[in-house]
Amino acid sequence: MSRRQVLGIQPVGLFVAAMLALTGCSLVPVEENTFESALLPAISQDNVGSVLARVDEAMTAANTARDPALLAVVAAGALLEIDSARYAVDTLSDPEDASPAPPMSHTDPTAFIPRFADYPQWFVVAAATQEGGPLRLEVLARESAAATWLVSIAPELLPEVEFPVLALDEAGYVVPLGPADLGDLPVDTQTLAEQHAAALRGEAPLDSEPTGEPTDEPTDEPTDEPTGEPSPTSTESGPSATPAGFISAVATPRAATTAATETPADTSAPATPPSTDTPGAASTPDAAAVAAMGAGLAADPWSTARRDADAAASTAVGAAASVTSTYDVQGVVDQALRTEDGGALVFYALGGTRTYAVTPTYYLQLDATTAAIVGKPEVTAELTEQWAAQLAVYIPPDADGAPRVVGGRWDRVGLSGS
Amino acid sequence: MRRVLAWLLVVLGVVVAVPAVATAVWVGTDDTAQTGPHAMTTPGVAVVTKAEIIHYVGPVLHLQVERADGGPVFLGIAHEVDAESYVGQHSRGVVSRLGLPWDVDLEEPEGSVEAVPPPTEQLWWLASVEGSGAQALTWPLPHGRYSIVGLNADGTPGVDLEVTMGLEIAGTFYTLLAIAAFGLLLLLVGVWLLVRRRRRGVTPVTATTLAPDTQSWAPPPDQPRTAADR
Repeated sequence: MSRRQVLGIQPVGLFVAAMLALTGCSLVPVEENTFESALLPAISQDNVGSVLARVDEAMTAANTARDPALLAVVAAGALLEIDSARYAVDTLSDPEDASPAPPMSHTDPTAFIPRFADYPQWFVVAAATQEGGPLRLEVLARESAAATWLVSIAPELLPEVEFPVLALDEAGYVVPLGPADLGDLPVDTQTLAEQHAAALRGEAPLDSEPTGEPTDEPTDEPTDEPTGEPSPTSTESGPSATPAGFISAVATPRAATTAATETPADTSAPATPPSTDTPGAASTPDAAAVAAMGAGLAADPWSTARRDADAAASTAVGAAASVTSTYDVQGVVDQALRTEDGGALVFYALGGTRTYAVTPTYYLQLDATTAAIVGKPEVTAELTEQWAAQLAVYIPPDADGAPRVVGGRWDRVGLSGS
Repeated sequence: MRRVLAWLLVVLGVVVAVPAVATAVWVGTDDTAQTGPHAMTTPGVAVVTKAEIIHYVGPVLHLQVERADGGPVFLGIAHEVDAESYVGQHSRGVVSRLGLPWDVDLEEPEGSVEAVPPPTEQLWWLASVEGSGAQALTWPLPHGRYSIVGLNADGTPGVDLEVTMGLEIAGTFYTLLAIAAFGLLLLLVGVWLLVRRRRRGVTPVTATTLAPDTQSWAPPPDQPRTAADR
């Protein structure tokens, strides 16, 4: 065999080997793991229903039993604190549970699901929880994969207010914002909550335009905003949404010398308008003045209703008591969502305290329910109402726009008197 | 030169063909290489694999687990973040290396010995099975960071499992047969070269080349035959 012939075998062999190797590689579909992992959705759309069913079951049981421990299985933060306090009030005001809470049932929920690299994780659900009820915007969070989902806050969407369009990432999930991510916004959640509380106290401005679009001429009251009427959110949260509705006698003078100007009233009696020198008028923010303060938080229906309620409370008692309303920040939710315009949807809770300092020689006669809570039928010194608010607020991306409340819920969580 | 090449082909053919045939027999026509059962035990709440042990993507993983006592067992596959969050604070057995067919490094990081919430209540499992007796799970290996978690169905500590693992790679059996055929081809070519060389290297013996006196040699008649001649 010549050298050429001998060497000729090698190319043939190599060719066969190469063909077989290539054939083998193409037949066996194996490749190296890149170990690249996309962010994890907090929950799959398919599993949202089962989580909400668990929430419904637990909340219904808790509401029926008025048991904060049962509620703590699915609730935390502001919602747990508020509803626990509400249970205590309800237990006193309606010990026989004559008007039991309707069962909870999330209807047609819309889930806004962000993606995360790690825990804690959270998502937001918008759904009506009772038939015919308003849409609740619930934030559900959990600290670890082993933890249960807990609802931390649940404001109710205001039907009159435009809900901001939420930003979506490349995979179609909403974009979560942590506290550190809010730095590019004109205001962070804590500061905004403080500003809101100050505005409700009458110390900070509110924009006059409910929808966040400023008008040149501020009005005394927002258009289409009912004044003195219970807000939709407060209707379900307390025995009465009318601030002084639980005072069956607006003001009953003990001394005959003052009786001429005051009329013992029943619950339907109109309250005497306060004069400028009444104690209540001095401590209640003037809605018109606040509305005229210019840019700040948008004068949304919810905030306006709170101011109106404070004014109405003062009006209701007239000279019989001095009404002081204070608001403070009860809690800020870390979770926020990016809006399409670069702004954010944030959540926080405010606490409110309305104190009726009874004018000497006057007393406040309470209705039976309130008397049961306070422990006495009339108050001669002071009556203190405690409220809690859960809020969803849109923060626009630039400083020119006014943050506006898009969801709120107002619950009475305490009542005491002496 | 040709002799060296021939022997090289023979050796190469054997080296290629024999393992290929053996592996083909092991894999079988279902393209699945299987190993086990192997005992995996931890006093912790789970046996969990590190994401790094899944080097390759494409094969289908076949797992079968059974508790040694036959009790209810749970086997699940989760994203590493979920698995770590679920059992990361607990005492557990961590498979940090897996060599095939079965060479396992099992670490035992300390942690809580409290039971974890039942795995059946978790919604983030990508695939899972649960029940008494042997439980089997099939999962195509994707890109990413995933963990395999085996634990008692109630999440209690003290996990004693018998694990059988299989890797199904489509086309493996026939590929191995092709490789074996290739090895056989090399072997045959090598043998052929050797035989051919031997035939060409020895001069043919013909009648014309033999010495005349050797053609009809016989002992002289008068010389007696010895025992050695027989």
